[in-house]
Amino acid sequence: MHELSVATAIMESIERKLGGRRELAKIQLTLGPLSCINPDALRFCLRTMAESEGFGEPELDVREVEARIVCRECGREYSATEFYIPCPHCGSIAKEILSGRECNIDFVELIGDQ
Amino acid sequence: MSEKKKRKVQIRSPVMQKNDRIAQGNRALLDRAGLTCLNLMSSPGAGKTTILEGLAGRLGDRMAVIEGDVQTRRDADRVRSAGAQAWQIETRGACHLDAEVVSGVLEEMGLPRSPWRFLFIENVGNLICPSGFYLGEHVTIGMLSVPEGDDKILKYPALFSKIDLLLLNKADLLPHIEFDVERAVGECRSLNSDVDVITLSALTGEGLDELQDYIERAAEERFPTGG
Repeated sequence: MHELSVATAIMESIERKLGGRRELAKIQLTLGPLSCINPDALRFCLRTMAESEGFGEPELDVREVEARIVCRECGREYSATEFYIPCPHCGSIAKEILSGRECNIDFVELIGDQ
Repeated sequence: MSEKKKRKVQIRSPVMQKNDRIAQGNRALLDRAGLTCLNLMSSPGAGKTTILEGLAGRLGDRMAVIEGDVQTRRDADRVRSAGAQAWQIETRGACHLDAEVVSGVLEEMGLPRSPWRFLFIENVGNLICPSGFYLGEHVTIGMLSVPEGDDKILKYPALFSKIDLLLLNKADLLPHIEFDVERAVGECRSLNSDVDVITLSALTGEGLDELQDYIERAAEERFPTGG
């Protein structure tokens, strides 16, 4: 359960970027399947933290993206969220993982003219 | 409820940016110290500390260890008794080590002055959370002990897809349990084609020569002794 430390890092980044604590309407995040972050646990931690730390009650929009993979057998690219699944083109499980560890804050929405 | 005006602010920032920045600082400090750092990750009870005891008996004062546990100083005591210097981090609930806590210990150790050749970081026993936190190490090691089962690698792809070395520990039990080494290694290589593999038993000492050779080579490649 490290979603709490991830939530702390998220709120710190937002506070730094905004130059202080502001009332937020929304936080949008992107998570890859290898980020090892459970979106529901993260939502729970973020909601609690945002409320208690003066960021209001933002809506949390978690965009889950797929990993990009190159098949080491046939060389074709495909997307997946699970890594035991064979290549949809040739059936090989040998893969090179190009992306999938994303854990990014995309944007926030502020309420009013803050 | 009235519709309030909203203003969008782009952040576009990786959440781990702060951890990664501190980790890069750790790495630079380790490089200046000429100290090869290895981050050892596995489930609880897979045998991390027993392997470090075995290596401490061979490497002695050339080796230092940072021990990460949720509670107790037991592991640091064990490694010290085996002959290596050790620093214990008690995370008080956290399921992983992060770069900041390691950075504090590196300072305590007095780096970049270093009498050591190897620094092992024994991460908190966990196959999930530690994989998200780069600590600044040169070599990332993932270990599976054979009683855990040969099907575990693909269950924890985030960890096993990023390691440099896979250790299969408790190999002395292989005659007694069903564990297909080829399957485990094949599945690890399916995610991570460059991974090196050593099968060993911390208990009997089987494979420790090979592990020692591996880490001596890893240190020599980075920080040649010129001998």
